[in-house]
Formats: sequence, C-alpha cells, structure tokens
Amino acid sequence: MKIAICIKQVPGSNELTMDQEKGILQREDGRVKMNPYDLVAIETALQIKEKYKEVVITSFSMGPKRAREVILSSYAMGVDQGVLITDPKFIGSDVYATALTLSKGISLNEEFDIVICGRQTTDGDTGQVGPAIAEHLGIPHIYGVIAIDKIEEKHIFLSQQIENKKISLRVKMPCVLVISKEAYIPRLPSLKLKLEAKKKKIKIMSFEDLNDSDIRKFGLEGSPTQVEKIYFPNKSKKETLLSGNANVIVDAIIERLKGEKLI
Amino acid sequence: MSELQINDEKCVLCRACISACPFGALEVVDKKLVVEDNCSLCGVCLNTCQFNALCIEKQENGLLDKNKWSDILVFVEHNEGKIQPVTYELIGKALKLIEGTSYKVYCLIVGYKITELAKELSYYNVEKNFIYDHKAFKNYREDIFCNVFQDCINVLMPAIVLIGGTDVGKSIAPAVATSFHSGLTADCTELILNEKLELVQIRPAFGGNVMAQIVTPNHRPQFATVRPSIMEEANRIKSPRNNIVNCKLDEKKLVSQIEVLKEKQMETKEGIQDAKILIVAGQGFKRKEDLWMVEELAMLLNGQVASSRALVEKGWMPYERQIGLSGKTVKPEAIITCGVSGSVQFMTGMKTSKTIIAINIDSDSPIFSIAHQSIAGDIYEILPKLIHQLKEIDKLANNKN
Amino acid sequence: MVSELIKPFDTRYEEYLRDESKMDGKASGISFPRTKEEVVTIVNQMINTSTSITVQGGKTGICGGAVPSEGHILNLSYLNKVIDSFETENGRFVKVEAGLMLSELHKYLNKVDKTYFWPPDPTEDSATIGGILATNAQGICRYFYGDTKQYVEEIKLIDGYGKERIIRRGERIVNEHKCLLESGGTLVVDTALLKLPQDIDLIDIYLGSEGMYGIIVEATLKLIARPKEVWGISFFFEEQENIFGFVEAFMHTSYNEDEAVVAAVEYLDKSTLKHIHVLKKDVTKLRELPDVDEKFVGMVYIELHGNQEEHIEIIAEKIMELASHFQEDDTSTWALSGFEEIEKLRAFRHAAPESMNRALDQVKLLDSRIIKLATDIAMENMTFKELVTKYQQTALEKGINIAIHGHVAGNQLHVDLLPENYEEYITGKKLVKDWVICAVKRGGQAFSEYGVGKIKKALYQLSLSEEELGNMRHIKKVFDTNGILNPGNMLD
Repeated sequence: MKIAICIKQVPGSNELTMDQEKGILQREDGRVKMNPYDLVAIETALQIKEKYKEVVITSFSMGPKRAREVILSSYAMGVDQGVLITDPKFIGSDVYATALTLSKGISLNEEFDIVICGRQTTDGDTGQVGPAIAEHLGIPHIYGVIAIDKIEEKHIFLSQQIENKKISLRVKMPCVLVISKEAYIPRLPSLKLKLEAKKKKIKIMSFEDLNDSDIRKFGLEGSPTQVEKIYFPNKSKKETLLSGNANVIVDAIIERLKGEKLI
Repeated sequence: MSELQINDEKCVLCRACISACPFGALEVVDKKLVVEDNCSLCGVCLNTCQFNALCIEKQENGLLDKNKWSDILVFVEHNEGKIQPVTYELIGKALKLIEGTSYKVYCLIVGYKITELAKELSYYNVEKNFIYDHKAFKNYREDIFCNVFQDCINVLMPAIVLIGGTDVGKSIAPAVATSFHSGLTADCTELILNEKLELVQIRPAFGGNVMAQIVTPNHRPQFATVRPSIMEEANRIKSPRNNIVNCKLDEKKLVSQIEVLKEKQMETKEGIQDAKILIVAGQGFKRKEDLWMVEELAMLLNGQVASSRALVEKGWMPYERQIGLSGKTVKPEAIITCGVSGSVQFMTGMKTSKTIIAINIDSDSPIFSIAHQSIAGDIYEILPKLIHQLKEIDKLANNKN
Repeated sequence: MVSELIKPFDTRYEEYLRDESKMDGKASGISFPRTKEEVVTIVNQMINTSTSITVQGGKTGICGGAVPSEGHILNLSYLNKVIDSFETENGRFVKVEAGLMLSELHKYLNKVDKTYFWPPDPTEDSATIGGILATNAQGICRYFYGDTKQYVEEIKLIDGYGKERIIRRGERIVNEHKCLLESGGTLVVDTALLKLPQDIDLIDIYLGSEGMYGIIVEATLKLIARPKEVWGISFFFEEQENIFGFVEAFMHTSYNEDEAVVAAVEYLDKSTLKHIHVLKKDVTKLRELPDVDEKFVGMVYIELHGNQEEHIEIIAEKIMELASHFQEDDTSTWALSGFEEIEKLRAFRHAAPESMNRALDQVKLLDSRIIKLATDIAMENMTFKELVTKYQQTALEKGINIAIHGHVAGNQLHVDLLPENYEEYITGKKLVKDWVICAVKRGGQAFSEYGVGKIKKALYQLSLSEEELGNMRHIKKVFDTNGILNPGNMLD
C-alpha cells in the first residue's frame, strides 16, 4: 500500500507581536518548525505501516529549499521517502495553487492509495489544502478523521467526527484523509532513525518536473485569491482602573461584554 | 512572474520590513535590501515601509465575464431536524451585503426528508430555496454533496457563495471552490461588497495579530466561509414567502465512494482551552461554598469555570481547570478573573486572551498590568450583582422570543 | 513615601507566606519595591524598627528560604528590568535587576542577541535571578559549563546596614584566611576548614548565601556564545541493571568530539516517570508528548552541544552503539535537535520536580503538617548503582515511597520522599538525616543546589562541625550584626 503525506514548514513557536507604539509587526525569532498538525498526519501513516504489510510512506512538502528539514524530520519518525517541491515560481501560491502544485507532484510520483493531510497549519490556519488536493486529484476526501479502524484491499474503514457525532465510514480508495489533531499523539523520532535520516535522499521537483508548461497556473498568478492589504486590527482597548460603586462597576462589565458580542 | 520589488532609490535601510517579515525573508546584503527565496509574497512588509520602497507586482487577466455571475448563494446546514444558527447568520449577512444592488439571496439545502425543515426558510427574504431531498443525502458525504453544489451553481451562476465555518463547511467549501477553479477565504470575520461588486473577505492572519483583506478578482463564484456567532442573524418575516424550489440530481451523480456504516452521539468533553469564555476563581474566595458564584456566571455567559493554582492546591478545584505555567495555557475570547492577584506563572497561561476583565480587591494587583478592564473591588459585592443583572438580561431576551 | 511602600500584612497577601516547600510563615508587613532606591528606603525603615526582612523572588524555592518566619516580606518581583547588555574585552555581559525572571531573561536574549546565552539555566524558569544567585541554583548543563558562580561577574546588594554595596569579581580575594571589606572591616574565612578554595573571591562567598549576608538587587551576568547545534536524546530502559551498566560505561568514556561536547546527563527513575504521566494531561506543554510505556523503569537524558552537526552526529552514533548493549529495542529513544525542538524534552525533564510539587500538594491536603521532604546530596565515593540502590533499599526498609531524578555526574541525585501520612513523614525525616550523615562521612556535599533555607537548617547545622558553624556565624555577624536579613535561613 502506498501512502502520501503532505507536510509544511511553518514559522517557529512564537507568534508575531505588534509594537503598538511604532505600529509595526515584529516576529519574535526566525525559527521554523514542522507544522504540528502534520505530525499527526505522519503518525497516522506510521500506525498504518505498523499494522499492515508492505506499506510505503512518502512525504511531500512544497516550500523554499529550507523546507527539506521537514522531510528529514519525517524520515526521523519513520517515513520511507520524501519529495520537496520547490521553485521560486511557486511563490505567492494561495490554497488553490498550492493544492494544484502538490497534487501534480503527488500524481506524477506514484498511484497512492491514501493521501493524508493535517487539519490546518499554524501560519495560514485555513484548513483547506486537504479537500482542495482531493478535488484536484479527482478523489473523495474525508474531513475530521479521528481513527483508522481497518484497511481492506479496496476500502478503508474509519471514524470521523462531525460536530458532536462520531460516524463510522467505509471509503473506497484512493482517497484523501484530513486528520484531526486529536486522532493520535505523534511519536518523537528515535535516535536510530534520526541518524539514518541524514543519509537518505530527498527527491526535488521544480516547475519543470511538473510536466505543465503553463506557468500562469502556478504561484501568485495561479492564485484566485489575492491579498489586497494587511492592516492591524483594533485590539481590545485598555480602560483605566475602576473602583467604587458596585452597580457602576457591574454596568461597565456588562457594557464591555455586550461590546464584544459576548452577551 | 510576480515578485517583491525593491526600489533602492527610495529604500533607506531602516530595516523595519526585516523585523516585520514573518518568514525572515528580507536581509541587508552589501548595503542593499535583498529578498530571499522563502518570500511568500504575503505583503506584510509593504505595510511597514514608510518610504514606499516596496511593491508587489500582480498581473490582471480579464478572462472571465463577470457579468454572467450575480447574486449570493448560502449553503444551509442542518442537524437533527433543525437548521443551524450559522445559516441564519449567513442569510443575515447576505441580505445586508445586497442592499443597494440588484443582487438576490438564494439558499441551497441538501438532505433527506427535509421538506418540513425547509419550510422554515420561507420565513426569510430569500429569493429561492433550492431543496435537494433524496435518501442518498441522509448523511453528509463529500463527493455527492459536491455534485449537488456544482449542479446548483451551474444553474444559478452566483457571484458569491457563503458557507458556515463548521466541520461540514470546512470540508465542502474548499472542495467546491477548487472544482470551480476559484478561490475560498476561510473563517472570515468581516465581509464587504465594494464598488466593483467584489466580495472583500477579511480574516485574521499570523496568530490574529494582523487582519488580511482578500479579494477574488478573476474567478467566480467567490467563496467564503464564516464561523458561527460572527455575523448577526437575519430577521424572520411574519408571513412565509413562496420560495421553495425542489430540485433533483442526475442518478449517476448520486453514486458515492463513501458509505456511512453507523452514527453515534459523542460525549465531547470540552476542556478549558476550548472555551470561548472563562470565569476564573482565585485566592479571593474565602470558602469553597462561595464558588457557586463563578459557576453561575459561567452558566449565564455560556462559558466554563477555571482556576488559579491557589484553589487547586486547596483541593477546591480539579487540576484540569488550572491555568498557568504548571497547568493549562488558554486563549479565550474573554476571561473574567475573580479574586486573582495574578502571579507571573498564572499570567503566562492566559495573557494572550482577547479581552481580560480582572476583579480583585487590591488595586496593586499584578493582573491589572495585563487586564483590559481592571476592577479594584470586592468579588463578594460585585459578582452577586453581576449575576443578577445577567439574569435580568436573559429574562428580557426570553420574553422577546 | 515610606508609608505607601510598606503595607501592613493582611489576608489578601496570604499567598506570600509560602513558597514551594509548602511551609507556612508569618509576617507583619510586605512591600513590592520597584527600584533599588525603594529597597534602600524599606531596609532602613526595617533597621530603624528592628524588624527582620525575608526576601522573595519567584517563590519557587523548595526549602522555605522565601518563607517569612516573622517581620517584613520584601518581595522583589517588581524589581525586574533588564538594565543593559554590553561587551568588554572580557566578554559579553547582561546587567539585570534581581527580580527578573529567568524566562524573561531568555526572551530578552532571544530578541536582542540570539547567539549568546547564560549557561546556568536552571530548569525552573519562573525563578528570579536573585533567587538563583542566592541559592546558587544549577542547571542540567552544569556538567559541561560549570558552576553558576562562574557566570556572575558583579552583584549590587543592600547590606544589613541599609547601604548599597557593589561586589565585583576579582576585586576582593581572601588571602590567608582574611579579606578586607569596603567598609574597612576584615572578614575571617578559614578556607581550609570550610573546604573552600584558598583564594576564594568575596563574591563567591555571597553567592549561595541565601540572603543572609545581603539583599541582591542587581547582578551582572556573564554570557557565552550559544552552541549552534544542540541535540537532546532520551534513552529508556526496561531493566534497572541496564541503566546502571549504561551509566557506568558512559561516564567512564569521553565522548567529546572536536568542539562538540556532552553537556548534560540526567536520570529519571520509574516513580518519577509515573508522576510525570499523571501531570501530563493537565499541563499544556506536556500534552503533545507521547506516553511512556509502563515497561520502562527509567530514563537517561543526554544533551549534546556543538557548532557543527557532523561532530554531534559522531558522538550520537557512539552513544547509540553503547546503548544498544543495554537496551532491548533500539527504538526506545527520543531524539530531537534544535533549541526549539529540544524544549519538548526539556519540558519533560522539568516536569520531574513539578510533578513532585503536585504530589506534595495532594498529600498536604490530607495532613497540613507535611511539607517538602527532598534531598539533593552529591554523594562521593559511591558508584551511581550503589547510590541508587542505597536510596531504594533504605526507603523500602522504612516503607516509604521515593522518586529519584537528577544529575548523573557527581551523583547529584534529588530524592523526593513521598509520605502518605504524617507517621511516614516523620520516618522520612529520620531517613534523610541518615543519608546526610552518610554524605558528610564520605566527604560529599549534603546540600548541593536546592539551598538550605529553613527546612534543612537543622540537618545543615548537624552536618557542620562547631568550628565551621562558628566561622559562618562570624561571617554573618560581620555582614549583618543586627540579624535583620532573612532570619531563619541556614543559621539561627
């Protein structure tokens, strides 16, 4: 069985803060890491590999050259092969273009039975790439997978959570699975695999390797959505200290809550 | 190909853009500003440059005849025989958006034995409600629901499609948008129709510290999802409109690769990290019995109760409710701390909450340094009054309905 | 205004009567100065009214050092600014106020200069710099980087007479048991008797003195270049004999490769692993870690620091080869690299003392007389195996549960005794006394880094000879005749 996983390198743990006085954004540091939601996707694939015979897992990532680090991290967890899709021509891709690029990379590699995606990323946060890849590949997707129950020759049995319902499904492969964060706790790399990871090859795919000469379908130009501008939101205002009459205080609290649409 | 362009004449090397870049893609090399290959063209740097030295070139291609697309389509979500509130919120927003235009609002509802349910939609100023009722639609199955959506869009040609940011919405929206080779902006917090009748989609980015304003200039429909409780519900009209349209889908398109075997209600145990509103009890509570006040408050505001370490140590609160360095980190929409002085360990666990209201008897409490609304007062005086007021408001709201 | 600074004690300040030892204290007043001038004002007022002062920082100590026995609480948590960072021909330094939390120092260095760090780095990062210096707290990387004291260049303190004093490293050294002080007086330090270096620097007498000799208000810390690469590896073992074998073999070999070094070697026993497991679900930063299989009886955590990953990899390969002789399964390890990633493993390591604190909270609910009972003895002349076995056997004999974690080097293991009732607590205290006596006999350090505070005072005094105590009392008298500063810590 062949499994593909989509993983992404995202900015490090610290969020952007804003220097209120100067009105500029400051990133806390330049660290990067694997999107934590993708760790669960990797773990899901590894669980399948441990349970069934002859499972080969390939991780795919689209990003700058530095993103090879996440492919290596996936090797350290136990992934077999990895593909880095990288090219300046892909810069500026929105979800549609990203999903298109990834799906081309995936379909040009193997006939995968399952493609697993994390639920969202900590930077973009939109959670759309999984379903979009499925659409590009022309296969169904299951959103909100919380467990893989069983895999048979042509079908996969899994549990999905939609709102507060747990639904058991039987899905014909190939399909895309969008994994919930709660599905599994990702394992940490073992020393052995980590040392071996460095010695493994990573396949690199650039625009030329995608067998599609129409550059306008990729990158910024291939992105239906465009960011018009970025601005700073009105943050919660800090009011001066209140004290004294309890009734006045209570009114102020209620006004505040109403203002934030919490009542 | 699009890229970030740097005007060296205008650039003064102030490095503001370097600090702001979320990807660390800007650098000064040999006294010139240079952009690295990990630039994602997000545009944050443009906003920081006071010298207009940066710009991103974008290409316009007018391949689409936008005149052929008009009106707004809202996807209706229902569960256990009830239409979900998010649907009414989307209808409400859609109706506001079309004011002053010739656009109309339409609804799409898919399910099995939903005729009764769908009648409710005739009490809203929706031009037409497209109902696809078939046993194949008893449960949400992405592939055939997508087929339905495509069928409806192909007939209606809506300029805009609005879907709720629910589990189903997050699944169906990107699939349908992609099938139309169009763009989707998820979790919008605001939607505006501009002079060009383009949908301006606004959502938080980079951890919520900036807002991104997004448009879909050259593709139709324009898709957007909005989470529940963001927009205001539409007003229900007194007499129903005759706007129900029953639709059918080609049998071939009802074949799904997904089979539902069984369904079960889940006991979702929400932790304090999932709560939208938290009421926190601290040292200021003199007796365990007095904690009823925070429980009551939490219930009235639909929130959850949490605790500072002090009360957990005393055994008055369970560990799973502890906020702080040796407990949980939370980021609710609103947090009301009652009788919490605010140790550094505590504040580390909640200081990024959107709105912080802190009530404590000591006006020098450390928590006031991070609170948006600081209140120096006695929780034994304030909380009972607050509870009473909230109950009054509740009563009024219930009477209205 | 003095009257505004000094607040009379009332119930709203109850939480300031305790630190992590869970000892309960008493106080007549409290203050939260924001500048060192305010500290001077307050101290002078206390001298005038003959009121004793107990200094507090993050209140993270486990020996009651910050617990007031009476008198005034001087809480320095608002004296928390980074004053400056600078470079001289001697290196790079950062000057901070004593109430600055270690985590805030980290944040500052990350923002201002990521290439430098302060090596001591104790795992409790909500402790304040003042507290760390006062107890001479150490971090897990002491193994390679050395004692915390080396990284303190200068301190500014308010002495027992209300005067501000600056103590700079290198300025005043003990010479033939004597040291001339700024005030003109002479300090007598019998370095041979006290087992101190012959030419000990005056600053090193202050560091670790738990506030008895002066109130630290500022400190200049020495920074060094941060290693570019760092790996953290956790080894899990199914048999205790294998842990002993691994540790024995490991500590007898040098693994340093070129400039890459072994920076830390830590041990967590089965009881500790169990307690961490209980903590996991309630603590956000631990939830992301996988569960540790119950079959494992202990864990050894090793950190490798260096500037070139190739060198670290060579070390890691060698250690992996060694571990293969002692592990049943070559995947019973966790290995991460990069400062960001190893935080996960460090959080796990730090959960050890945290989980002990929680266990104490719970038993204290059953009987409030029970307070922290833990040791940090650096035992000499015993192998790691002999020591761990000794702790386990003697505890078993007395029927008390324990949990062991700590630094493998120098046998600096922390043992937490976990009494389930007051009788066991009393028995436990006796057991600790036995261990301390054993350590003293063998020439080890009975109180290596937690400090003595109030809880261990009796034991501490028991472990010193009358002459040693006499010299220490002399030093105390020179610096604080009136006995105003932190009474009850270490000495009476």
